[in-house]
Amino acid sequence: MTANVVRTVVVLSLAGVLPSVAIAGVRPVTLAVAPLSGAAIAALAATCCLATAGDLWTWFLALGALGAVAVIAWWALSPGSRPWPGAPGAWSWPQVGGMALIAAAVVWSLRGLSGPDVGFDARMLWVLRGAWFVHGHDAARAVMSNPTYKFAEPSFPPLLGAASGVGWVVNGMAAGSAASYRLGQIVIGVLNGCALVALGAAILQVPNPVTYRAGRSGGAASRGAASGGAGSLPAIRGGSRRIVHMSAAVVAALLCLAAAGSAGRYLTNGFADAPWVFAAAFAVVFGLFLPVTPPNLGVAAIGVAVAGQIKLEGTATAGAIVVLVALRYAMEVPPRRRRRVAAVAGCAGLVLLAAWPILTTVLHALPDADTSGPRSGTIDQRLHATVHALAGYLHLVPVAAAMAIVGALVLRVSRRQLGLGGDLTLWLVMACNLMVVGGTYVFGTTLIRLWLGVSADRVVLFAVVMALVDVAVWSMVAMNLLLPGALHGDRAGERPAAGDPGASAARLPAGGPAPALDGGGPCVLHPPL
Amino acid sequence: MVVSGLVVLGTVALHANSAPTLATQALARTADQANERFFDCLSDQARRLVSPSEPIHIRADGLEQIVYLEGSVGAWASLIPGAEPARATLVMAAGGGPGSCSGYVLSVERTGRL
Repeated sequence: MTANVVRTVVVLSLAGVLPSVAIAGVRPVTLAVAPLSGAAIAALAATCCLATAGDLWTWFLALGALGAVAVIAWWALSPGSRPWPGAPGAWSWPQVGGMALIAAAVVWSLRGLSGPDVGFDARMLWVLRGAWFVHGHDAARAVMSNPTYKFAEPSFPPLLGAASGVGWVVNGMAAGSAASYRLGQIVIGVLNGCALVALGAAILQVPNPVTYRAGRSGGAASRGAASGGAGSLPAIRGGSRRIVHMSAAVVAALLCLAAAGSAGRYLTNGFADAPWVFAAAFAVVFGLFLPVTPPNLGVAAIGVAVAGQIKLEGTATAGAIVVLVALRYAMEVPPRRRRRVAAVAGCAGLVLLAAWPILTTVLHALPDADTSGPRSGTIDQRLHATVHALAGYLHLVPVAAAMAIVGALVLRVSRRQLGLGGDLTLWLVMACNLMVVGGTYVFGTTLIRLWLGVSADRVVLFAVVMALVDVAVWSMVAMNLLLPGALHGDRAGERPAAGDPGASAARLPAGGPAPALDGGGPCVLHPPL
Repeated sequence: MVVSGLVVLGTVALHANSAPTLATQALARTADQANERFFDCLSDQARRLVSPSEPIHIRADGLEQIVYLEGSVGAWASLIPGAEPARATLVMAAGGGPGSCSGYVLSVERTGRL
């Protein structure tokens, strides 16, 4: 089985590696998102298989090759777009060490994969659908409106089944065999792990003041600094820089352990909740928190593409993230032309996310069994039961809200100096997710107490992980303030220490005089260490 | 702020990996593994009775058995809507003996004509 898993992950990674490098750059996080990109391509292949003709494998090969050719052509025609040489410091020892700590935490969290544990929903819904696409267009098309398959909810998005299906084809497995389900369970677990590592990598980049400034100056400087390597912390002295990196690694690893622990056994039993939540979570951090740079937006785009093709609430939440990222880009990047770019990119993202739901609607796929048919109970009863059930799992949200309020009052300036976006967007995405989930329960039809009893603990996972992310980010902002030689300035009248270039550099307004001081070049006054 | 953040993250991580939490998860995992053995047993039995390309109906006594049967063969069998005619019907019923799966046996009823 190990060889089967390795072959599957390698094939997914091969399909995803060039698009990932092209949009996320040459940096450690790209290793984590490459298999996720491959899975997103597999989901797109399943959509094409259902919409037109052929089978999953044919479309996967075609789309993978198309993506690779497009990237190579882009690099050939536009040399400035090439992501190498990698960002300075992106592969430094502190950065790689931090990633290793995160990876160790994630691998330990995935220990449940050592034994067979295919959850009920994994078999009935998520892994099973891969067989339809492996068998080809006719089989997949027939299932969509066949009432016998209502148990498998044919209208649900295809990513997890498609990724599993690629593994079955690569390994010559018969769809529906015990081994095929086990492979699906492990592949989904590995995708969970990749998304968690990407989330941890995002936290590693939080204490990175120059990222913001250089990110605004564009070009290679932007790409380089955005990687968040050790070399991009010139404002902080050597010893303090090590403390920053160590503390960021510890916080990131703790976040991964806490997020994985919150997912519980849903992390390793093939359910769809954890993978979309973790993908959406790293999309939020890269797209809404970290500085607006092409590589960061690229990683966010991968997260959105994955989250949006796994589960319907993931599609809705990914749509909210796309809108907020586009708005942030439009507001933070002044020229009007870029606002049009943001609008076009945002609309394109929404259209791609809507492709599967639109396709299943056009094909008259069977409606979701939980939201169709006669409603059990009144809206009022369902609302009361839903609020009561969900609130029971959201103890962490008020704690995170309290930290966010204190952070907004005390650490706002530090957060801005670090180039981080405000966390209001995080709370907006969380609210959007809870409204979608709550609304589905309230306006759904299934017996509400039974439904909540089997699902409430996992549909709140996104809100819980968002709360953990906010806590982690504010912790890093606060930690940065405590370090000698690090950023200062939250308190009125505070002066930078004499001879401390970091403090004065950090005071430079973002996008303001910094590029001019640096001669318009990449950090001339603050060369990478 | 730093301390409270680390405490929150650490507490959640520790609680999620505490002995009671892991014990609860282990119970659920054991139940799912038993389910999985049941699914796989039914799937193996069904493969001996019908071929993947053969359009079939399924029949069982209750909703729970129907769901188990669907989950067992749904990925490889050609299930067709009840309104359409099929040459074969896969039937799940209580029964013991060799080839039974946790007290259930599968059989196939063939109509001979459409």
